[in-house]
Amino acid sequence: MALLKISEPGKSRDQSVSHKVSIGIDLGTTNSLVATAKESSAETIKDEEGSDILPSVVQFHSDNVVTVGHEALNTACENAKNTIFSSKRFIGRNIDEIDELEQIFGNFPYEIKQDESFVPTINTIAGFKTASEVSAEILKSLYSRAKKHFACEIHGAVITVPAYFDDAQRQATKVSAELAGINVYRLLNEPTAAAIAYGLNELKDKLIAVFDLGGGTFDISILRIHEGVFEVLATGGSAVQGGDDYDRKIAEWFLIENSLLSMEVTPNDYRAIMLAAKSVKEKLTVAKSASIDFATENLNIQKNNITREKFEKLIAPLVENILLDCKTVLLDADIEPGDIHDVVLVGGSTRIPCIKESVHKFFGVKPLSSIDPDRVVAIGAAIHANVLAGNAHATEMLLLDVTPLSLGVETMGGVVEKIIHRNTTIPVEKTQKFTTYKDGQTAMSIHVVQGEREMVSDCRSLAKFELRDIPPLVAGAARIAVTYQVDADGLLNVKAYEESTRVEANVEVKPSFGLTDAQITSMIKDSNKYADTDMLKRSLQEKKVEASRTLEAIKAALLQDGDQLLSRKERENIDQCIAVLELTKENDNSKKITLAIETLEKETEFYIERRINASIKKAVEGRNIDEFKP
Amino acid sequence: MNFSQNYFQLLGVKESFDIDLQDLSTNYKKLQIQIHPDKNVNASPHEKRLSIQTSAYINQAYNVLKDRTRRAEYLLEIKNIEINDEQDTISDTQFLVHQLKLHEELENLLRNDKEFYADFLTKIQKYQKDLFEDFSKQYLELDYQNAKETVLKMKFYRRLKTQAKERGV
Repeated sequence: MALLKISEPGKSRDQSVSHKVSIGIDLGTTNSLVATAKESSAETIKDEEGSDILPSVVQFHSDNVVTVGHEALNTACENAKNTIFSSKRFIGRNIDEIDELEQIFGNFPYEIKQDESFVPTINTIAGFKTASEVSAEILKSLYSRAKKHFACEIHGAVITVPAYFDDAQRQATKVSAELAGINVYRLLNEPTAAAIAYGLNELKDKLIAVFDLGGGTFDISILRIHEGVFEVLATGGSAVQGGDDYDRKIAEWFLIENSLLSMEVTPNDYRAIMLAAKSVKEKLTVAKSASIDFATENLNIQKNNITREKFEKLIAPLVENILLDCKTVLLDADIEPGDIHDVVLVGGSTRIPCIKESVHKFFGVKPLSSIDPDRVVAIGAAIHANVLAGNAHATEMLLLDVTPLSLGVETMGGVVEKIIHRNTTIPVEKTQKFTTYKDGQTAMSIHVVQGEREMVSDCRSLAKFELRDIPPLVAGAARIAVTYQVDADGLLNVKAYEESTRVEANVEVKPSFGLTDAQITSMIKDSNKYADTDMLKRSLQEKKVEASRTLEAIKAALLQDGDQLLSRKERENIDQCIAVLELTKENDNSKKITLAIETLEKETEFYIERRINASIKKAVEGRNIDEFKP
Repeated sequence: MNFSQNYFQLLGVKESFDIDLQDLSTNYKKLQIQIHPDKNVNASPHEKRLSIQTSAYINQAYNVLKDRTRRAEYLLEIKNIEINDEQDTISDTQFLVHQLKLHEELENLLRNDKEFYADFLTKIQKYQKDLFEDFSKQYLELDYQNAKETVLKMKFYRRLKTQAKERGV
């Protein structure tokens, strides 16, 4: 397996720093996986039955029991109304977009309606569930599998999302992780993860195509890699094409060959023949011909053999379509197939020989496929998680992502004024100044949208912000600075203050169709059906974990540069706060722990700033850290 | 967080128009390797917040300095010469005629005519190169008034390029 080298040869890991267990999660539309990386290798984690692929299927039952994966899939037919497939298609979407999805995929067997904050929810026997809650069940299942595997707590995880996911979809994915109780290091774009798995992040100014053909979706992404900076130049594909379509082609061909009309076939028989077709397709990746293994009382399959050649003919129009998508995305990125340096194959359907050949022919380079295409995204995520946890000695490795879509605000006449342009390296912060137009005005509202078009109506509405508590001044006197920050995960945060008085305006975020903080909190409570005392216990436990994390962080910092950056008095004061928190943490008083954490944070604020300033200087000038001693 | 250093000091390159781009990019990477939020996943929440802010500030500095037009504008900003896109105009009448001519040329360019498009862009690049040389000289000679006019011209070419690209010629 050609994996990224993540440790310098001959250099063993620093034993004084404890190894932090980290995982990478590929949260897919059809299947999900979890993987973990060590020094120089990465592998997916299997469940008790020895399977590493978890079908992204969640089933709700009346007694609050939730089943996920194969178990849910196997009983899907009997309990269709409570079995949710492909929750990833709904995540971060509004009800109108879900209606559009229904037009593509046909009506879903469950009832979907929107709640009071316009978040679509699915009516199940266990109550109304949002897509985030459904995906959280998948994450919980993978998370507990990993915990069992390591027999210890997991420090953090990298979760992958499609490159084209907008802010709402990323936020909703992060909420899922929060509901599952996972500490997310960061969200990573799927094509970027695949490129990391092959170690392509070390390339210098090269163009990469990531060709991802799964069970039901096709994504093609063009990335530019330059010494660790990943820029997504263009993405394209189709949400309704994949391996399932090839199974259907085979199944239908057998029916016709045996003079059976599909309308005469019962739904159960049809499902069985689809499954048999799938196994035929898999056999054909190595064999020149294969027989369908199918027996039922109702159907008589006489002609049961298909050649690879026939199969390729059957799917040829579908493959043509895929190549057309590739052409479009190259046009969009303004490049030619010959400009592509490497092509990475992702998704089980890329195992089909004629698809591999078509890709090879189209781009003119042999596609990379040495890493299992079903696992490559999870493996890339795991490698990156291991680097982020600080285990790998790859301090030179840095991923800089860009914003996939422009961010703007609504101005007069419904026109969008772009604040942060697409393909800006993140994190990024932009400040925009506003003024009041009425005497004594104390509030104003700002509408944030995401997209490339000029009119608000053509973009995606992200949130409406209410700025309150603006000091009452005459019209035009207040200067309100609104700062939009997109963090390394591509998530938006907004802050605002009035410049002359430095009064912070209260920003109330109303996600256009996302969940409010209050909703998330109540969901976390709901998802853990604890009695009140258990709830308190849990919250205390969480506080203690937070205290430990804070202590760990500050101690590591002090060990590194405390002597250089702090005077003796400053150091004594901080040590005292640490001692207080360490004592308080042993008691069962959640409020006191919170207070001690806050005190420690406040008392170390200046030191943290000094640290950052020192590392800036050190990085550029190579100066000695002692020069920053106060 | 108080960022008292200007972008040049932050990125460790000398405060001038002619900077070493290789140094700039190397120093940028060195800084992000220290500061980027990915390098601080185990830090305290406060340090994480500062890391996002600082990393964003470094990105901003790098984006300004690597682009010659923005670098020129920023050099003047340090000298307290602000450029206001709505109020400041170019007084050079010859240049105004030249502007009109180029606009007309762009209007007349046929869609999908790649050859003409390439010619047009090459021409603009040449004009830009002349301006960069002008600015470098003016800035060194402390001739900020003319340097400002040069920046306004640079900005015109940059807009024109974007327009040309948007037309999808």
